[in-house]
Amino acid sequence: MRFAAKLTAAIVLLLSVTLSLGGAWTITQNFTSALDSAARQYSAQQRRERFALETALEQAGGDTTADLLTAADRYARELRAAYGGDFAPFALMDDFGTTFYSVMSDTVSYSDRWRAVQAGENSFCCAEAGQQRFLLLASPLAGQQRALWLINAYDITALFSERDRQLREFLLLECTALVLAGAAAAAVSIFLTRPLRVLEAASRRVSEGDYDVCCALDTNDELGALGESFDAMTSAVRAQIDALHTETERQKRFVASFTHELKTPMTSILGYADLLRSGAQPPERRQRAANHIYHEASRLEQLSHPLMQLLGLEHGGVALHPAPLAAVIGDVRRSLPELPVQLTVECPPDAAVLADRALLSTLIRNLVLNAAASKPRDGTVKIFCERKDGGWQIAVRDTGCGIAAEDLEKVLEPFYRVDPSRTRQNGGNGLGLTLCSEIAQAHGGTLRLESTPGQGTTAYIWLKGAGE
Amino acid sequence: MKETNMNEANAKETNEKEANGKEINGKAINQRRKRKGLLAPVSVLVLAVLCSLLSLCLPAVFARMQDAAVLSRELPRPAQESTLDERAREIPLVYALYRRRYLVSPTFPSTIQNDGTGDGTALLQMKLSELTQAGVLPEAPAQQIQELLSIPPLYTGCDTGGDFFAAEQGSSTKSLSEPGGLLSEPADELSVMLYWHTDTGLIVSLQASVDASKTDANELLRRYRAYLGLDVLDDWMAVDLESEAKAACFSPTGQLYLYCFAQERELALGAVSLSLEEMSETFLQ
Repeated sequence: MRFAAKLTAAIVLLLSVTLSLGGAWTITQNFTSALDSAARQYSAQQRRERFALETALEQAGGDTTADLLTAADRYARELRAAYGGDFAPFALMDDFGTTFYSVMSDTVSYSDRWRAVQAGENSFCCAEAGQQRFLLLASPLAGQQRALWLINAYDITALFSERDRQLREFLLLECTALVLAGAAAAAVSIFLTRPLRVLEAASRRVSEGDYDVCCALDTNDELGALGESFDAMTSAVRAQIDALHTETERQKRFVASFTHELKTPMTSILGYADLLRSGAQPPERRQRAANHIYHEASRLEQLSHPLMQLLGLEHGGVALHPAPLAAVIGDVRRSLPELPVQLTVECPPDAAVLADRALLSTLIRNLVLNAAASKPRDGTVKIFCERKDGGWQIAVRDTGCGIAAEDLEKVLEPFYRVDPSRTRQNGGNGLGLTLCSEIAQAHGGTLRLESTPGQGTTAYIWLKGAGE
Repeated sequence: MKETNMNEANAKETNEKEANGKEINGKAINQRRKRKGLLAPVSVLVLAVLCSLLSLCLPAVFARMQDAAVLSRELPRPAQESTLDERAREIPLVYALYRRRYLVSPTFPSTIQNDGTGDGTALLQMKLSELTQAGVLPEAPAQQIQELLSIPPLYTGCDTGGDFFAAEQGSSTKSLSEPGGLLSEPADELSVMLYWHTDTGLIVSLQASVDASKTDANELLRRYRAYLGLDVLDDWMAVDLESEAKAACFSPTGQLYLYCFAQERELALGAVSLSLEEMSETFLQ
């Protein structure tokens, strides 16, 4: 069931109950007030009639029942003469319930009259006779030998009829109001729940794969806030999916490159192995084949080391400890005893970073080797360390051939070589800078290259400082 | 090898059966969910409609309950205005005067002009002598009234209306000489009028065209009140009529106003039943 329908039904139901209770209370209060007013009016009227009857009885004199009946009858005839038939019927009863005189006919039963006497002169009661309703008042007559009560019956059927008329009119009014209110509630509910339908449609499109959907709800309420959160969520999902796509593409490229790198030496190895298997070969040919096989196998074996390191960096965390940069650079210098260029270092003695000393050493070593391989004009590779952004920036600078801008974007990708022939000739496999980048990221840092072809290249590594 | 293959086949078959079973159960659950999904809004709608219809009947239900309550039990009678105090009700004169206020035609009896019977004069004389004997009327005005009654009347009569009796006599000054104490004005009408309560015989109104200017109105009023036996009411308040020749008092308990005018051309005594509101309207405007 739609939320707008539930809302409409709830509003209509609530309105119906409220109107009904309010109407019931109002109508019953009106009736009570009318009854009270009638009782007040008829009490005053009965007072006059009682006094008139008392006067008539006193004037008639006599104490016997016959005297009483005669006087009462004369009084009734005088009333009839004065008012025709339009006077309140009355009866005379004593304290024991004996009716002495009555012009009430059978409309008001004896039990109702007796009930009125028992109610006393400070109360009144109502009686029902068929379709008619009467208000009964009983008052004691003064100046009589015996205790006599005058009971008058006043027709209040009109009060009940009026109340029933009000009920009918109220019912009609309420039905009309509910229909109109229901229509208005439905229209308002549909309007107010429009943002929910927009959200529902957007959610369905997202579930179908369309992540570019945007609700753009401009209502200044909770639904607007929900729409904003939904848009933020879809943006985050979209970014996550884009990142996953990018990563998938990168992995595909990696696998493709790796497969290519693997295929070349394997083809050579298989070829020469097949040659050796094919039959007797001259010794020099056998030696050449064996040399090729050994050379390509060695290349594969060399490729496996950085690959293993890369895998280890991707899968496992790196434990970081404070490492003095001067000591790390010293490790690098000692690992390159036959570096063909001069290595100059400018590093403050207190420079220390959070790092895995061995991995950091590998990173700087690879950068120094790359710088050396670019054949710097001045024969020097420089290492600078300076404080930056709460950490330390290490720069490895050369004045070699530099890297073109279009290559600079790709040199960090696995197996990418600016000059494949020169790199392979030098024993490179295209994974050095990739490894350096992964090491920097594993340390929570960054690797950035700046280069000008013909002028040189500078590699910048930023790492968190120890004790920051 | 064969046994391994059979085991594998059995496991595969079991897995397939389990998968089919799960698929069937899933379909059944979805069907039940669909049915429930259809039933829920329908039942909600039906319930809402039923509740609305029931609530429409509420006013009628309340009205019937009210009818049952009204027709089955006693209800307090609204308090009447100016209800006479129970103590005052025990005093016959007070009750009679009070009752007369509410009669349909609360008029004093009319008089018959010159009925020629002389009954009016005789009654007047009798009642006046009662007043004198009771010590209400001083001698001088009483004498004047007697002299007035001895003048041949233009009209005389008596009548009864309800529980009060009236007697009246009227004369003209044309045929009069100048007896002492009587007024002598050309063609003035001189009259004596009395109303009294039939049961108790107490005079509730006296009007006589006599010179009562030498009579103390307050003293006369005090004696009149005693004559009527109304000293039992202990809340009499003096009413200021702004004249030394007039005196009046009012009892809220008895709702009774007593007055006495002892003026040069009039002697009047009377008792009138008035409610507190009427009293306020008449004398506080």
